Amino acid sequence: MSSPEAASLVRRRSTILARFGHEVNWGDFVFRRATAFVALFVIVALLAMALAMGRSSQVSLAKFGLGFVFSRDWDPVHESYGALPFIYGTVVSSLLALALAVPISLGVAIFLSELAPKWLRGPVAFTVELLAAVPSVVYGLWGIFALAPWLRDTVEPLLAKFFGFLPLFQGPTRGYGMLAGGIVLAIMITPTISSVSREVLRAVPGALREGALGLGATPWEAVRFAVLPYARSGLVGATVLGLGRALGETMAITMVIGNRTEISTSLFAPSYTMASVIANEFTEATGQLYLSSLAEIGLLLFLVTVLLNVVARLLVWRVGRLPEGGRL
Amino acid sequence: MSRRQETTAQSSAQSPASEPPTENGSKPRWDELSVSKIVPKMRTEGLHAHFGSSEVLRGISLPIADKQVTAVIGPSGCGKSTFVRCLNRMHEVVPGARASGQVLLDAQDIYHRDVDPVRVRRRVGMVFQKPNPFPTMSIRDNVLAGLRLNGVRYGNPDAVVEQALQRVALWDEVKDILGRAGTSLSGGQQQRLCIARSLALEPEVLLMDEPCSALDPIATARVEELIHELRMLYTIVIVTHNMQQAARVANFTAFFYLGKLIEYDRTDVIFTRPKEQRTEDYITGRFG
Amino acid sequence: MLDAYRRRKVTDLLVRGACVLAAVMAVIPLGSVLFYVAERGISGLNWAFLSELPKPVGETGGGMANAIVGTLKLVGLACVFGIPPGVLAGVYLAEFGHSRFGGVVRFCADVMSGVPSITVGIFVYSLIVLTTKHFSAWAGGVALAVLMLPTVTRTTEELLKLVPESLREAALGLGVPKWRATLRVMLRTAAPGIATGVMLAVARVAGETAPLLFTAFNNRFWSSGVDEPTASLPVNIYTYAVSPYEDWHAQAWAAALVLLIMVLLLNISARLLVRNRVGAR
Repeated sequence: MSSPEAASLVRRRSTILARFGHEVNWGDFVFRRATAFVALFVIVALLAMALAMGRSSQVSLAKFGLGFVFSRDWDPVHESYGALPFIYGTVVSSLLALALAVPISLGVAIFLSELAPKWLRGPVAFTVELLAAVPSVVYGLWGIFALAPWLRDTVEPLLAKFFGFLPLFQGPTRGYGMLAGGIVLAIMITPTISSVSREVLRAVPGALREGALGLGATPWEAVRFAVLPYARSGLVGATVLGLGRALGETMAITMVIGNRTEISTSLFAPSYTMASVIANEFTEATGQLYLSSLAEIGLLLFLVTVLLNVVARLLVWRVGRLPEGGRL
Repeated sequence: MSRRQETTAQSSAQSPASEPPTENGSKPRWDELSVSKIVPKMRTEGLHAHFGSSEVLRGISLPIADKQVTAVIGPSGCGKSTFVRCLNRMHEVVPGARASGQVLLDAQDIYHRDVDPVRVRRRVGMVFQKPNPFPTMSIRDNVLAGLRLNGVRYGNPDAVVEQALQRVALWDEVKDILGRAGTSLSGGQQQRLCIARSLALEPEVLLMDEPCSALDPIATARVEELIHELRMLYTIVIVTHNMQQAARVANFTAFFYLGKLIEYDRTDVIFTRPKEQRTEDYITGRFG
Repeated sequence: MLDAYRRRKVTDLLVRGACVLAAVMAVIPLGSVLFYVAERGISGLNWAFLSELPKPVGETGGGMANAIVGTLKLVGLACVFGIPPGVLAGVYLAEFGHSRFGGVVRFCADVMSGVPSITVGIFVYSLIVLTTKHFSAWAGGVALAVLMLPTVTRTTEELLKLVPESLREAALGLGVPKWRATLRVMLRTAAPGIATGVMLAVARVAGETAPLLFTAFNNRFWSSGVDEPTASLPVNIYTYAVSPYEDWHAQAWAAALVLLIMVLLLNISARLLVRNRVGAR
């Protein structure tokens, strides 16, 4: 067996190495800098994204300014563009989705982390996670052929019959519309909110729970009075994350929301979201102003979701950590 | 500088020399003592070690005798692990840790500016407290790991593996299961595997940081037996919190306390007629 | 006293019931989706679907062979563009990332993971499609890679940090330089876990439609190489579903079935990988 070059321990440190870093050998020097360069790439990618969107929207930003956000016009023929119908559609459908998804997600999260027997936890958790695995476009397909007809034939007539005095439930029941969009979004954001909530609940120190139980509280009371107050900001964060996800969702909602630039108070009426108009019209857009307006809508969407994401993570971070892997 | 020195084993040939008088009550230097005839493979001079701002070793000057077993004993926190990790420049791997002073390997200071720690570690191997075979590798690959990861060319891999495992008395136990994962063995076997892995690189010095503290008594006995056999070929430094172990395996013992070297001498002297009060207190169990 | 106690017990039971109801309601849509896809998808799934190209608009018959291949091509490109940078960035964060720079990288990765996929499409459109003046598969691959990047990075970082330091010490003790110890011991040990995370990321990305709409676009014929517009299953599902043709609707379901099988297989095998590892040790 040949022995390593044991003769000399000394390796004259190259002057380059000595000047630029602490490393003693080239391998470590290159390794650190090469991986740092790639890591830098992550930052560059994000900045490039923001910049590219800004640049693409320049024309319409210059032409319409702030009025873009408040204008209801969307008229390619007369070159007048305003984002209000889409902002309305996006916000309302997302809020509706939250209203439906938050109680269910929290219920699931509490069920899984506090109330469920051990043997049930695995399968139920797995099923909820599987909800997240189904691609958006498949939900859209199901929405078109399963959900919308069901809404049109069963649910919406019922709602109109009993609650028709509310402006929310008036108008023709086509199946496609805000309600369908809200429901589909709710299904899609449930796994997000529930998994983050579960992590938050798990991060609550067990001592709090046990203390309450030791005082004679029922399991629900222990959750309500000991766990939830502690986890509150984290749960709000989970909700905000779900909101961010709902705002950015594209395919499923495009397929069921009707895609009409109307602003109506009824949930039965069709609507149009920011992501949907981009998806539908981007490749057909003629003219720079048209394209730029669509890009500006994208920019708005980008900024809002980034902001919500940051706020959400700050809130969650105060209580626990997010599930590994990032994309929620 | 040849790797295996010409000096012969000198454990039994020492006769106690008369001790020169000390000045100002300072502790006698090691080379003035009865151990002065030993030839050190390694030597530290004024070795200081820090973790951040706290000083863990305060000026250690100590020889490590060639082809002998030197034990480092002392209560927890006395710096013995730190000392041993300075001998192969592992100490500085921890962020915020630094060392100063000299550590001589065959009269070459390994802490010199121009010395590459990686090269030091190929001549001074280390076995850790908790056995750490690589979980993704088989027993066979574990033994060869040091050679492969360093790109060292070796002859017939099977011969290399067999020789290394024979040397740690593990060959008969695993020769039919070489393909199994390194972590599938018992604790004692894993530790011997780690020793084989280190030995495959043919180091000159083997450092052992409490190698038996995670093992059961039977495995411990086998490792101690192993140390006894390896002594002929390698210089060994063993850190142990078990005084009986030091008495069993070591030729020389150094007693550390609160980062200082209190006493260093032949093992039988340390355990029967220690010169320092604190040494005596420790070995009689007055503090732990 | 007894009354109050009973009231509390009832509340507890009601809430438990509500939570169970919530869990059931969360699971029902999944059941419905799976049922519809299975039922309608199977009837549309035939050999023609898997092997033929689409017929001209209005004619019945034909298939989506090019879309199936297209999806595989796009996912493959996404892996090529997304996995190496992701893993290397993750290695950096795990080894050297305790600085401010590391914090910024982590922050950007987290933010990127929440960006709507359609904006990634616009980004890649302006970056690549506008400059090359045509839609292409590799543009689609880049868009999908951007979606995968944050996940792969964070997964690599987390998993690398889980590898016990004792293994690194063992390698260093053998005189292995730090960088080689990281790559050949630490990364190698973390590899199964990282593979799992990557598989999950790939499963997510395989079903993405929006970013492909303006990058890979679509193609009714075979696309050769990576520089042409490419058909993909998700985009086809969308196009066929919103069309007025019954036959196309049936094909959309079949495509959804194929896509769902792909995605579920990836998902389930990724999770089995984790479970097996944990059991075996």
